Amino acid sequence: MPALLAMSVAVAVAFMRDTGWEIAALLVSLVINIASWRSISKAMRAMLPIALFVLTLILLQWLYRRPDIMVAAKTLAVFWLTTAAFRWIPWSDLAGAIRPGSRASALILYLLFVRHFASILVVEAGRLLHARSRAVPKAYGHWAFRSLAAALVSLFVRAAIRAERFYAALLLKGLVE
Amino acid sequence: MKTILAVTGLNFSFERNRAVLQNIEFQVAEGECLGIVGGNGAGKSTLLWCLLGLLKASGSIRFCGEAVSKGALARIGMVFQNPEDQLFMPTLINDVALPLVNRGLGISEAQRMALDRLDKLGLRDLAGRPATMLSIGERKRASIAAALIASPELLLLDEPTAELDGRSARQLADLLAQLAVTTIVTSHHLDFLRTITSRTVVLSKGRIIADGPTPDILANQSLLQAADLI
Repeated sequence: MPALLAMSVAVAVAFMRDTGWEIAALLVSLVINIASWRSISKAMRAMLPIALFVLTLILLQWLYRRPDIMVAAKTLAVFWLTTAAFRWIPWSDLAGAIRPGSRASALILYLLFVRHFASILVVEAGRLLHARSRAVPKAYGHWAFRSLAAALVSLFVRAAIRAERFYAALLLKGLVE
Repeated sequence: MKTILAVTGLNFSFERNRAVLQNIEFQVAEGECLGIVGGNGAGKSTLLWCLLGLLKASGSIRFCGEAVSKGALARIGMVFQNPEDQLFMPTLINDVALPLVNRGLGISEAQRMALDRLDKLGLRDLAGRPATMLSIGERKRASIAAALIASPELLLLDEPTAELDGRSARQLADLLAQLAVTTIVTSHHLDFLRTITSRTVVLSKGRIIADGPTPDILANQSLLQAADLI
């Protein structure tokens, strides 16, 4: 139930137009996200990648002279709410609820695939960034940024390869057309 | 003996003028366990993907006398090199039961059959755990259980001993030796192939350079050297 509520709010946030409501939703989603972690320090650490992403987004908007802070706010709110929802979904119960041919089953399987693929990507990204930090100990400078860019490109390539194999496995199980 | 798989004149390339597989021809009889060996980049995994129709190759691939189609895929089991590619459900029992549920079997019956299969592979006690919590050897066995649950007529294994220690590889070999299903296994783990296969095809640079009884192939040092295996 909390997962469904968080997901519903995330959908509502995506369509919001009012700045006041948007700011309120941002604060609520922050509280919900921290509550889902049950630890402020863990929640803060988990927020780092999305914070970096949003900062990059704002920087690009500023460079192109099209500042729209609400896009960044919406991104943060939707991310915090959906990740909280994912943490609250009772995955084991969901898997037991799969019934062949039903629309709900297709949605459950889709959520399970997303969760599994996300966890693979998190592990891959962790390994890649760890390997990079061993090879390039400096946090700043030409090689640090260049290697980070190369590592991210490599992550996308790995993600594509894993997605291809994953799709093949689903095809063999008869789960995709 | 009935031919399960017949491959004739198979060619495949990712890019023009750079052939990955060239003029591949072999047959697999019912109940046979065929090994495909070759060094890194020889084309072993690509060949498996072509056999499944996941990569479009030229030439002929006949499975039980028919071209490989979507219907035929349901009768072929595949164990991927990385078990994470095929085990994604929250519990192992759901992972193994899923192909049966997807084919219309009731969830309780599918789970009973899955538990039975896991029991045969020594994984009964782990049925309620997610695959991510298991050792790599256990995950390999679990992916074999998932591939076998729908009683396939042909089982393909891509580098099953990758990342396994010696003991786990031996346990896996013992397990596969007991299976009564036509099997194709790619590997460059020669001792493993010696244990489970009766016939071996040697791939080198996308071509078959030898095809014969496993003991003869593995005793031919110059052949293994030419295939970058020793």
